[in-house]
Amino acid sequence: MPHVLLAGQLHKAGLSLLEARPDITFETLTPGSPEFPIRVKEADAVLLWLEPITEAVLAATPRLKVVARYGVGYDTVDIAACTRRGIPVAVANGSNDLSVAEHAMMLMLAVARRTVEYDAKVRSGQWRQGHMPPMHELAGRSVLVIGYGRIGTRVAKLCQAFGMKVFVHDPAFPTPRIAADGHVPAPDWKAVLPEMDVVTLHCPLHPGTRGMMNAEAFGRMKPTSWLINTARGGVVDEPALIEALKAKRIAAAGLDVLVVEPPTTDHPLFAMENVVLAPHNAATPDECLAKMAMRSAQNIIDCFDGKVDPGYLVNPEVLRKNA
Amino acid sequence: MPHVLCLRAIHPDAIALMKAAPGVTVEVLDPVTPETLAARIPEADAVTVRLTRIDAPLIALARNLRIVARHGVGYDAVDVPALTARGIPLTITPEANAGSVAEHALMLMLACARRVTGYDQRLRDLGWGTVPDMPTVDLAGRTVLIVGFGRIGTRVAKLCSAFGMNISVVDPAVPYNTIKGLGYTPVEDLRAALATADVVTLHCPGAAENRGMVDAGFLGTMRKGAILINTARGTLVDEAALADALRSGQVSAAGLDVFTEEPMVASNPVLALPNAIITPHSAAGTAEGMRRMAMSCAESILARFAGTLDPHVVVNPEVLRRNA
Repeated sequence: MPHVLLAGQLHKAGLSLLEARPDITFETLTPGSPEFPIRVKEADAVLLWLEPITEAVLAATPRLKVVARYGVGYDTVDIAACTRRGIPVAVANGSNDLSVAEHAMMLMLAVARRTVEYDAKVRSGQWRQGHMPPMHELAGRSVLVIGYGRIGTRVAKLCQAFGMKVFVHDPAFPTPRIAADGHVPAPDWKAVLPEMDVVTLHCPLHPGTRGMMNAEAFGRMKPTSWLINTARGGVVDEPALIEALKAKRIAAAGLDVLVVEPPTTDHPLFAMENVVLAPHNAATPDECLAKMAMRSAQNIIDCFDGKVDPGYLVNPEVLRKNA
Repeated sequence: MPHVLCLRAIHPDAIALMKAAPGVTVEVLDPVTPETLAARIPEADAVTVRLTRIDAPLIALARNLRIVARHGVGYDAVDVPALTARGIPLTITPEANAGSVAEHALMLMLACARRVTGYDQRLRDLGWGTVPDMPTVDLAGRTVLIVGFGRIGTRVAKLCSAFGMNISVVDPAVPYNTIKGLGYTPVEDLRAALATADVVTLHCPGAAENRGMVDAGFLGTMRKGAILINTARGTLVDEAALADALRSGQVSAAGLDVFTEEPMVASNPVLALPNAIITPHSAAGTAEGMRRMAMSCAESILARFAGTLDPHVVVNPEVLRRNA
C-alpha cells in the first residue's frame, strides 16, 4: 500500500481526499521536524513544506516515487536529480496566485502609507507630531512587475486598476502579449529601473534570478522608490538591500520572504522603520490553504493512479520516460 | 490689494501660484493661535484653512474676508451660516483627496485581511508562521458593503471590484438603478446587508443624522468576524461599542483613520486593541493629495478674486447668486 509522508499539517480539505482512499496510508510531521530524514525512507510520496530534496536524500530513499510541493516554488528540490530517477515533482499551480497577488498589493499599499510606522506612532501617544514619513498614492506611479506568470499577471492587472503605469519584465513571455494586456514590455529591465517608483518581484528563484536585485540594481533605482518581494528571499541580495535602505538609495521595502527562513537570530531589517515585514504568509488565507491542500493531495493521488496532469509537474518529461 | 492668509503652510506650488497673480500677497500664519489669528485675520481677503476652527467671532473680526478655502472636504469646524450671512463663500477641494482616501480605504482593508501590523511586529520579535488569533483572508469573492456612494465611495467600489469582491452599496441619495447600472447591488435594508457583508466600509459625511450610526446594534447585526473600515468621520462610530465588538471577535479587525476625538486621546478604547489598524487621519495626506488640495484652494481663491468661482466647489453657493 503506497505511503505518503506529509511534512506539515495539511488543511482538512486535502486530508479528506487522502482519507477517501483506503488503499493509501499517510502520516503527518511538523515542518522542519528532525524525524523527516528518517520517515521519508518509508515513503512512496512526500509532500514538502520547505524540506530540501537533494541527491543525498534521494539516494537514501529508494521507495520514493513522487515528490510534491505544498506551494508552487521548487527551489528546495534538486529537480535534475529527481528527473534522473524518473520521479515526478508536482507543484500546486493555480491555487495560491490570487492570495499572493493580494498580499503583494497589501505590502505595496502598506509601504505607500507607512502603515506599520503610523500605527505604532499613534499607539505610542503621538498623532502627527515629529517626523512624518512621506505617504504616496499608487495612482500615477510606475511599477515594474518582474515575472509575468500566474501571480505577476494578476498583480499587473491590480496595479492597472489603481491607475499605475505598469512595466513588465519576463524573458519567457512574448512582449507583444504584454503590450496587448495594456502594459509596457521591459525586456531590458535594468534600463527602465531609473524610471520606476515600485519594483515588485514575481519570478521563481533559480540560478538566473538569484541575487538579481543587487547593489547595481538598487544603484539604478530612484531614491523615492520601493521594493516589494513576495517571491523568494534569494532573488534579492539582502546585504545590498539593507545597504540601499540605510543609504536611502531606495525609500522603503515590503517583504514577505527572507533569504533564511525562519530567521533564527535578529536581522538588520528588523530594526528598520521603512520596511514592512510579513512571515512568508502571502498564501495563508484559509481558502488558499484549502485550495493548495486539495491540489497537492490530488497531485499525489494522480501520480499513484498514473494520470497526473503534466501541467502540475515541474519535470513533465519524466512521464514520457516512465511510459 | 487682495491678501491671502494661509492658516498653516500649504504646498509651496500653491503659494507660488497665488503670489504670481498680479497684486496678490500671501502670508503664512504658523503657529495659529487665538492671538496671531486676531492680529492678522482683519487684513485677510482670503484664508486657507486646514484644521483651524472658523467660528462666528473670528468671522466678525475678518472685515475684508471674501472667501474661506478649506484644504480638504470636511467643514464641521466652520460656521457656515455665519459665512453665508456675510455673503462669504466657503470652498472645499472635492476631487483633490478622493483618490487618496479611496486608496487608503483599500490599504486598510488589505491590512486587516492580512493583519500586517500584527505579523510585522511578531516577525520583528522572531515569531514565524501564522497564529490562529490573526487569521488572514482573501478579498476576492468576499462581499463588501459600501456605506455612502459619493466621490470616495464610488472610487472604493471600483477598486474593490478589481479585487473580485461582490459589492453592495447603501446611499439614500443615490437612485437604486444608478447603483444597479454600475453592476453593484443596491441595498434598501441595511440590516439585511450588514448580516451578509464580510467588509463594511464607511464613506458618508459626518452629518448629525449619521452620528453614532455604527453602534452596538449595527455591530451586532454584522456578520460575525467581519471587517470594519472607517476613513470617513470618527463620530460615525460608537468607539466603546466597537472596542467591545473587537474584543469579542464579533468584528475580527477594524481599519480606522478617524476617531471621535482627534488627535487621538489615550483613553480611546480601541487604542490598545491588536486587531485595530490605526492611522492618524492621514488618508488624504499623501504628497500628491496635499498638493492637489493646495492647488485647488489657490485656484478657488484666485477665481473668487476674478469673479469666476466655480459653484461646484462652494458649500454655500447661494452667496454667489446673491452677490450677482
